[in-house]
Amino acid sequence: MIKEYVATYPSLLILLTLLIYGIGLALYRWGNKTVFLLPVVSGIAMTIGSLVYFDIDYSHYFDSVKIIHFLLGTATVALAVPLRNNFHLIREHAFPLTISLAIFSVLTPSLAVLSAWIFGAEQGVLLSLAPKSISTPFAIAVAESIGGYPPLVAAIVIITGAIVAIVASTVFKVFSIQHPIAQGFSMGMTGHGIATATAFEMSVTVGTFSALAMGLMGLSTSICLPYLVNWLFL
Amino acid sequence: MKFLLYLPFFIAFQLLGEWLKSELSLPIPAATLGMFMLLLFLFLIPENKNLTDSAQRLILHLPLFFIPAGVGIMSYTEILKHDSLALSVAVVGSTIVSFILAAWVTQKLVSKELASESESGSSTTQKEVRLK
Repeated sequence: MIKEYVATYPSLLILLTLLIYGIGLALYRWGNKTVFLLPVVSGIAMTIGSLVYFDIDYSHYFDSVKIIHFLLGTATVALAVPLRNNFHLIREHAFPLTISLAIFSVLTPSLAVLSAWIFGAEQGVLLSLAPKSISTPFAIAVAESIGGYPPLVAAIVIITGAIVAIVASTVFKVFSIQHPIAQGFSMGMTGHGIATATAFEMSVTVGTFSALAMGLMGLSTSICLPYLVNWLFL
Repeated sequence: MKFLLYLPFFIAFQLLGEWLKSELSLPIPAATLGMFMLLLFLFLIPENKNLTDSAQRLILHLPLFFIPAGVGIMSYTEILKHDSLALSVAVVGSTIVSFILAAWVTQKLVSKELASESESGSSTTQKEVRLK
């Protein structure tokens, strides 16, 4: 019955998503901001749960909540503002950040592909793992150009971002990473937009460096990766 | 409420990004192009408090905006099952290892730079002392 209501009133799904996000935020505050209740993780999980329960398929859901997806682009554009306001910090540390970026735009995809290769994944899966640390639109474009499976890439990218968001504060504590620039830059380099959302909760400086790293990693990986793949597989 | 007045400003740059992407047929995502265009524009204007506040509100709710795309995982459970061991090692294990390395290396590089800066800083004070 609910399925029919949803077909007639697609905005019910917008309401559902907003309610779930509200519940997710409340849970996160109630649980003293434990990482397992991160709003991005609980929001996605609860939405999948409701869609499965009410038997609503994903394409119908996505078409109904396109306005929320549209705002993802708007919020990405808005990331330029903290970048501009903190540009003096970025310029001061241009040298170490460039070196770190150069190392990890090669090391991160290599490590992912190598570990999956040891455990016997087929080539299409290997190629889908390579762009896992860059934001979804970049990753899909790269996967298409090197021969991975775009739907699988989207799933891998989102899970990767969620993992970085979940482990970040523990890793910083255990390995005593106190410098906000190192925290933000590493989160953005490995966990793209999802980790950036969490980084902005830590502080504006951490978030800014995460956003910067996300943008730079997307650019450098989409330039380097096709060459790296040619060299590895041919 | 000022937040709502600034929303069209960001959407205009998002649109500019979409226009650039299709006009120049670039492989770079439209939102990233829009972000770079806005960044260039922001260098031309003085810092604006209302604009900063509106951007921060929008960024605060990034987790909400990720839900529609993230829920897409539900369509790919079959592929995820297929190479599940290799995928979980690569996604969970290698992500955590890369992340730890990235954090550690970046911290080393940044603190090394800060150390050499304070060294050169002390040498300038020494020069000043000598000039006196």
